Parts: sequence; C-alpha cells; structure tokens
Amino acid sequence: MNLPIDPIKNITAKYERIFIEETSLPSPVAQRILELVPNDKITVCQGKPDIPTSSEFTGEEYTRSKKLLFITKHPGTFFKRCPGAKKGLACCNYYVLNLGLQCDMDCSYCYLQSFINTPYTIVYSNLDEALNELQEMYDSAPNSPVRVGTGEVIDSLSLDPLSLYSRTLIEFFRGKPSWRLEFKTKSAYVEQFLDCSHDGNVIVSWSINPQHIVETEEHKTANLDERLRAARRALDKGFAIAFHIDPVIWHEEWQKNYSELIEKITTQFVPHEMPYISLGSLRFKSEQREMMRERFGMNSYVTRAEMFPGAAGKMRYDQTLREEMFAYIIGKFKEKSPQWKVFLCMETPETWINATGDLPMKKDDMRSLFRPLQVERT
Amino acid sequence: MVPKTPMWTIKIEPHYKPPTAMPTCKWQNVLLYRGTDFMQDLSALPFAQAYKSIYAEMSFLELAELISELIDHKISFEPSTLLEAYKFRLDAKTEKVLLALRRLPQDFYAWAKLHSLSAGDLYSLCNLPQLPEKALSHLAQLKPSRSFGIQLLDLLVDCQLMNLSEDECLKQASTFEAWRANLHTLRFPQTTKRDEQKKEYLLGLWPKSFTVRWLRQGDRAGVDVHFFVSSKKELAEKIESLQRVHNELAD
Ligand code: SF4
Repeated sequence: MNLPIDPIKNITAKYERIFIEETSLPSPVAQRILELVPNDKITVCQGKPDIPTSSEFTGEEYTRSKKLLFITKHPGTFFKRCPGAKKGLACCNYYVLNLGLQCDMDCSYCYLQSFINTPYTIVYSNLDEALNELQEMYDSAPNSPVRVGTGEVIDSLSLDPLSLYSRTLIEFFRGKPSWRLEFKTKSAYVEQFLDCSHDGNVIVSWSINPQHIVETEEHKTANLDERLRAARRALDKGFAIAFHIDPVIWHEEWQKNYSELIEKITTQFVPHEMPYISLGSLRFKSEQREMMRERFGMNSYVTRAEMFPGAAGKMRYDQTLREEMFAYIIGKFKEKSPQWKVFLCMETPETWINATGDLPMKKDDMRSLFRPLQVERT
Repeated sequence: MVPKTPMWTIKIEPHYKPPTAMPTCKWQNVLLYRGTDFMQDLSALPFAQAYKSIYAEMSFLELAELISELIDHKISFEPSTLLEAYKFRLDAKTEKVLLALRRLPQDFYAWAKLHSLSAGDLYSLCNLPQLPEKALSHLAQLKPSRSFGIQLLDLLVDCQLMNLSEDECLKQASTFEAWRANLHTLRFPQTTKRDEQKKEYLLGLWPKSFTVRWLRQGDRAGVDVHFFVSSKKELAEKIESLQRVHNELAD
C-alpha cells in the first residue's frame, strides 16, 4: 500500500471515544477496531451510549457528535431512494444505501446539519443484512440499470480504511453487470480497495471544488490535488470515476477559481475517462441556517451567501446567478472538448433549459442517466 | 392572615390569571400570589409544584423572567424541574437562551413576551458577541407582528455577524418597512444591485397600456404584467406589443 499518511491513525485521531454496542462485537468492523484502535479509546456498551443532548442540537453538540463514534446495528431497512427524486426536480436514477450516519469531515454547507440529532457518528455493523436486502432487490430485477450509492448521510470512503466496507461491496457487485456501485467522497482514501477485482461497475466519485473553497468551506477534507490523485489511482486500476462539482459556490473570484479547477481536471483527465461530471449549486434547508451561522459565523461564503427560497424547499442562489455559473462552467468544459458530459443535479427544469439549452431527457449524452427505473422498492 | 410585608414578592405578571377565589399563596419567604385574605403556605411542595398549582400556564419567556428573578434573590430551586413542569426542557440550547435573555433590553423583552417567542426564535441572539441593544429596543418600539419581528431579528443578527455596526444597521429605520428594506440591502448587496439593474431594464420595455410590477418570488425575480382587453382587436394590439417586447428582450 502506498499511503501518504497512516489513514487508521488519522481517522482514530478524530475520535475522542469509540463505543461498540455489545451485540455488534462479533462484526468484522468491530473486530477490526478492537484490533487497530488503542483500547483506552474504546467503550463496549449495552444499547446506546448515554450522552445528554438538547432536543435541538447546539453547534457545540453537533461538533461533538463528530468526535464520538458508535458501532451498532442498523435497525430498519438500509435501502432508500435518492432525495433528488422529488416532484419539480430533474434528477438521476439513484438508490442510497446508508452505512452509517454523520461524517468525520466538516463542510460548512453540509446538509447533515439540518437533521442530525444523534450525539455521535454511527457506523452500522450489520453490513451482511444490507447485502441481503440488495440481493433481494437484485433478484427481483437483475437487468435493471440500478445505481447504488453509499454517500448520502455518511461519506462513502472517509472511514473506509477502518471499516473496509468498500471491499465487501465491490465483491458483492461482482457478477452484477447491470448494477453500478457508486462511492462518493471528499476523502482521498482509495488504496484499501484498489486491489479488489471488479466487473467495471464500480464508480468512485469525488465532490470537488476549487482549492480555495476546499480551504475555506470544506474543513478536514482531502485537498483538491489529493482527491484528483486518488481519482487517477482508482482510474488506473480500472474503476470508473466521476466528479461532482457540487456545490458551486459564488465568491468574488469564482470565475478564475472554477476555471483553474476545470483546467486541472481537463489536463489530468480526458472526457472518455469518466461517464459524467455533475454540477450543483449551493443549496440548503432554511432550518440549517442557524446551525451554520452558529458554527461558522458569517465569514464563510456559505453563511454569507445571498440565498432565497427555491425549489424543493431549499434555499438557493438567485436563479439567474445559478444559470450564469452553470453556463460558465459548462462552457469552459466544452471549450476544452465538446465531449465532456456535464449535467446538472438537483436542479429545476427551468435552470436546465436556461443553462444548457434543454432538458436532460432530451440530450443524447444525458438520456441514459435519466432513464426511468424499472425497479421499485416494496 | 396575609402578612403585611412579605420578605419578597415575585414581580412578574404571567398572562395566565388564576381563579379569583384563589387564596394568597406563599412559599418559604416568597409571596407567590396575592389572592383572597386566606393564606396558604405551599412550602412543603417543591417550588415548581407550588408555582404550577397557582399558574397552570407559563410561556417560555415568562418562565425565563421568573427564573431570573429567583436567581437574583438567591432562592434555591431546580430550574430544570420548573421548566419541565411547563413542558420545556433545560438543555444546552435553552440554557444559552436563558443567559442571553437576562441581557435583553426590557422593551424588547416585553415585545417578545407579548408574541410568545420561543427559545428557538431567540437563539440567534446567543451567537452575538454583543447584543445590539439600541436596535432591539427600536424593533420593539415599532411594534411589528410576531413573524415580521422574527424576520427582522434574523436580518439584524446576520448584519451584526457581518460586522456591520449597529448605527449602520439602524439607518433608515423610521418605519418597519424602510428598516427591513435597508437591512435587506445590507444583507443582500449583490442581489440588490443585480435586481436594480434588471428591474430598470425590464420595466423600461413595456408600453404604457401594460401594468408592470417588479417582483421577487423566492429565488426568481421578474415582472408581473397585467393588461386589459375588451375586444379581439385590442387583444391583437396587445399581442403585437408583446411581440415587440419579446424582440427587444436581450437573450
Ligand atoms: S464530506 Fe459530505 S457529509 Fe462530510 S461534512 Fe462534507 S458535505 Fe457533509
């Protein structure tokens, strides 16, 4: 393995305490933690750890929840439909598999701030049950082009050197060519699964932003170059990769900084190396404003952003500004090569039309991504 | 008999009024309620229970005021039990608000109490290094409705956290509408500028026979256009005018 830092040490250092629920002790993830993490950091508990919290979190309580890790079983179903699949939003076909809750990184705009009310980060120990659910879904529609992502309420890979869930999942997706596994991350941890053999149906995607935004808003994440390097490593091992330039954040120098980002991408990668690049502008629920303001003050591009109530109950930039930013970024890619496939995620049909000239279903290069699903959850 | 000079009388006047036949009640050396001539001593009960037996309802801000008084008079009581008696929870968030409330100007407090603002409505104030007392008093004096007041408070907190001075935030504040507009301009400078340019351009495009109003609707801004026709001919003229506007509109 060729790691710039020891990921286990790095991850462990983020946690003040790791709780393992007694019944999770036999699980591979608990066993691995017991083996790799100093014992004085670990507490085995019956049920949930008793950590007093407010009914609505204060900023400090939210921050503390990133410093405590709880290994426990997931009580309900794992599989969920993508949050973009709502009326009024054009979105990609996508299913979400939650492997935990909360994130060890700390982006100022993170939507977890709008709903997390558990006083610790959770990693679910019963991956085997998640796989059973997936198998059932697969058996019911083996030929449907289903995408499964693991990065909705926890980053797909930032804790992966500890859990090694990527390896189990890649293994599971082998032999299921119509299905695609999607890891989404802002970390640079890929080495732990690069030796896994796969069917070319695993896509590792990175949310990326100009380094200036990484530094100001995406705290504790891997820097841009590390993410791009990790992407190259994954690509060289035959994994598909994608980039989400999301959220696009307005700031004085946005044109220069996004141009530089595009320059980096287009000099380090060629269009056929990735199926798509998605774009999304800054958005958040209004309920999360207070938490962001408390945690990051108003000296952040995010808290200071001029946002208005928009589609799907989210605060968004003015539509004209969004269109301007999208059109600029798409234009820059197309200047480099018309073959770059750039699509908008979580956007209204109006913005699609104004920024790209058409709806995704009407664009040849986008149609396959937006094909209606034949599989429905029961 | 009711003592002539109780050691201390609770000053707050909750919105809830106990039944008129309620006796005068004391708890230890505190006169909780002045009612009939009959004196009832509730000292055997915990404070929260004693108080609840008189005042069945208390808003959060009334409770905060009560807690503040009790603390000032060094009365020993359990704040969490008192809050719980009225279905509020003492947690880190509530505690921060309770502390901030002790520093609020009286007139603002009275306005907030009148409109039953919750801990959540006032929480943003906890994150200000310094309370904009003048501005809060001014807000109270303008007597806005609950929702307008909360909106303005939110803008004010944003502006304060953006390091705008209180004096700057208080410019053009003679009426509620003018003040809100000014705070909005301070909070949303880029959008205000863009809207102004777009507005001037768009409003200038229309013939006089159209009633045109600039409108911001959430994340979109544009014009609301009305016209009146009484015949097919008039409609054709309007369509022609609309076509001219359409042609003039820059892409
Ligand atoms: S990496 Fe994603 S989940 Fe983690 S803090 Fe940032 S936005 Fe939230």
